[in-house]
Amino acid sequence: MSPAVHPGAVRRGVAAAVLVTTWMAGCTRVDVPSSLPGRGEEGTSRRPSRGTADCDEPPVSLRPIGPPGPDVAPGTVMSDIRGEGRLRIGVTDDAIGFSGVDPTTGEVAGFGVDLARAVADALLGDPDAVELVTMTHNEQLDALGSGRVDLVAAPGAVPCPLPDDDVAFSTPYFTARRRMLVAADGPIASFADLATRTRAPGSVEQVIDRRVCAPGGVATVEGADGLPDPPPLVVGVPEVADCLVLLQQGQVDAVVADEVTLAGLAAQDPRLRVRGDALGSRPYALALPPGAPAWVRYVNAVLEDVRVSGAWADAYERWLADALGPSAGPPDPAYAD
Amino acid sequence: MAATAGTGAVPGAILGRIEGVAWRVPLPTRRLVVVLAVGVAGSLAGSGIVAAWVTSRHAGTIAEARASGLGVADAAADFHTRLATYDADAAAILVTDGVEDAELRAPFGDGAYEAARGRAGYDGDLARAAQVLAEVGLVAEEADEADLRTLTDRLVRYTGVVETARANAAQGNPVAAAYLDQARHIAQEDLMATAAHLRRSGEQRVARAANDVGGPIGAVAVASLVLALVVLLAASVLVAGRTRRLVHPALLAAAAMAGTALVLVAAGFWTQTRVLQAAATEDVEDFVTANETAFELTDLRITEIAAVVAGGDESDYSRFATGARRLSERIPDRPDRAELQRALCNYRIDVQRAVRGSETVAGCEPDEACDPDGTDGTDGTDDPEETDEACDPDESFRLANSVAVDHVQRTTTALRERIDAADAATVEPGMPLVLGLGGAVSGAGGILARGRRYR
Repeated sequence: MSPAVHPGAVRRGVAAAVLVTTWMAGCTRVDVPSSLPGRGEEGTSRRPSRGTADCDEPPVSLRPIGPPGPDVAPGTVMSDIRGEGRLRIGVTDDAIGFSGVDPTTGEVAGFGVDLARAVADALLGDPDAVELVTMTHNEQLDALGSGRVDLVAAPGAVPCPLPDDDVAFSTPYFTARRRMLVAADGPIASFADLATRTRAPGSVEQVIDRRVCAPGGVATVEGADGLPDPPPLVVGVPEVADCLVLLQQGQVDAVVADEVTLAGLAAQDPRLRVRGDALGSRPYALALPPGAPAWVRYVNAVLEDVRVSGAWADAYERWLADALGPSAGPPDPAYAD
Repeated sequence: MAATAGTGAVPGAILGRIEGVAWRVPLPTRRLVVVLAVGVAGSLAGSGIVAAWVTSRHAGTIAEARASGLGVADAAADFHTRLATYDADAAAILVTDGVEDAELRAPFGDGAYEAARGRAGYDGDLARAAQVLAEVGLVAEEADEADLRTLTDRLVRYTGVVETARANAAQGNPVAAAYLDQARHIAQEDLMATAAHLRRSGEQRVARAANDVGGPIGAVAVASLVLALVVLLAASVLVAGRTRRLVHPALLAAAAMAGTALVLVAAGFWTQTRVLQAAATEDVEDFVTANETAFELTDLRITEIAAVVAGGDESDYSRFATGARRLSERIPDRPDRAELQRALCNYRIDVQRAVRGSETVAGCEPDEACDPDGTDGTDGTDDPEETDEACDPDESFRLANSVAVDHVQRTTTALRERIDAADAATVEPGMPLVLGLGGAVSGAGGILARGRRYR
């Protein structure tokens, strides 16, 4: 059952669309949100690379104050959570390995969920003292703003530039590289193999037309640096799962997206592999409600612990290493006091 | 020439007048007799052939109306309804439950349809849709070949994609929903659209048949028989004038046979025309509008699934609400109009309740016969007038659909009865042919017998 439309929902919806578009678009600096192709854009494109500027500097967040623990100041988000006895975490349920439904247990689990549980462990002394609230990307801002969840641990990059009022972010806890998902026994091993080219078997020239699926629309891929020239035909679809369908049906040669997303798709088909060098990268961070700096500092303190304690490496090994290979480790935090 | 009596002498004044007319023809008697014999034989045989051809054509047209008209339209409507029902069930079960209960999936095979009626075996609807497709192929015309090929190809593809969705759902793979979306796209854009086209083709054939049988071609056959009788009468008069003898028995027999053919054919055509023109003006229109309503209702179900079960956005619900309101307004004046509008209202209310938690729908009163919370009404906390049956869009759709389908079946039955009545009035084509040829032989023989003494 869908909720009723709240008065602020439209504004939040627009903000969410812009945020998600920015996430999916790889943090481009193109400042045209009104005309930027939306997440639901479909179609095909073979436009040549126009070059995009990534956010070079890592996003900054508030510096932690002291080690995280159960002793918290009254009147803060942390004290409210302790009062309720559980941490409400917004998650998606379709990103296997990061925050997806485990078919054996029916529970949402994954790398991102484990990191969020670490916050519950620090604050409540129990990593299982959580309520996992399943939601779509478009519902995340509304859920944070309305207080329905305390944080969101869904796959998605920190937007660039950071939005002012609607959401806050922790320090990055993962750097997701943009790679490609291809058939394990197929001819494509690198992005260079995606080049559209011609060959002449006998006397007839034949065009080998490569097609790449881009979840969220053609704009999320077509301008990326690192695509070969001549570029492949980019097929935009609204949802990530649509790309998997097209790849399994042989209608595209590869899916280009964040490696976390691709790991979730690869987990659904043992014949697929995540390959290719990074076509750019994007930092992931926990999304937090606005106007709660103490909560942001607390979560950052937990993440600091997770980085140094080895919990991060354990979670990566458990959930993502099989699909993505060895990791370079968690990203270094950048703080603004 | 002596007025000897073969079958009796005629009064002199009349015979004299006839004789005067006969002798105005500038031909020797022998040649005149031969010409008249040939003319009579030709006209009677020709009219018999024409009448036989027209009756045969009408019989074929009526059979076509029944098989490739009504049969195809009815089958296409059935296919559409089954597919829409199956698609909605598959979406509801796979999207909400992930993996369907084993009991819900009846085995394919002989008797799957009969064994799998209702919710406990929704695959029966798909089995029935495939069965309908096979049956309609036996009665369809060449013009339907493209539609049937599309339906066959896409149904196989649709089934495969649904099975892929089902296999992924069973393993807990989120991609199942994407496959289901693709299957539903095939169902809506290819299968249901093609079924609608096929249904319209069948309806057009029924309408054309009704107009054709009731049209001028039947009158041509009757006119030819009348003309043949006139020719026979005129020839008899001329021969009588030249020979001063009347009413050879063979000529009487020829007249009797031609008259019988005329009465039979005219009566059959009159009945067919009356029945089929009534069908063309009333029953076909009722049949078409009943089918249109049923089609639109099942299309609404598709939109509702997108809005409710699949967690669609506001635009999905708006499309549903607008479609439901328009359908309710467009239901033609018919005996079950109020019942269908009421069922449609309950459907709209239940969907709105599921999407928005509100049961206020303009022009519709909430149905108190169900329990909005889906809880047992016997616990003392609920309205005692409510039953423990939940206000479920699925159930309310089925109720509305059953009303619509019942009406389709009634109009189909009415139309089929009209066609049966027209078919029963069909004159066996061999009958006017035999009577015409028999009359030709008899008439020519009678005339030649009268003129045999002339050289």
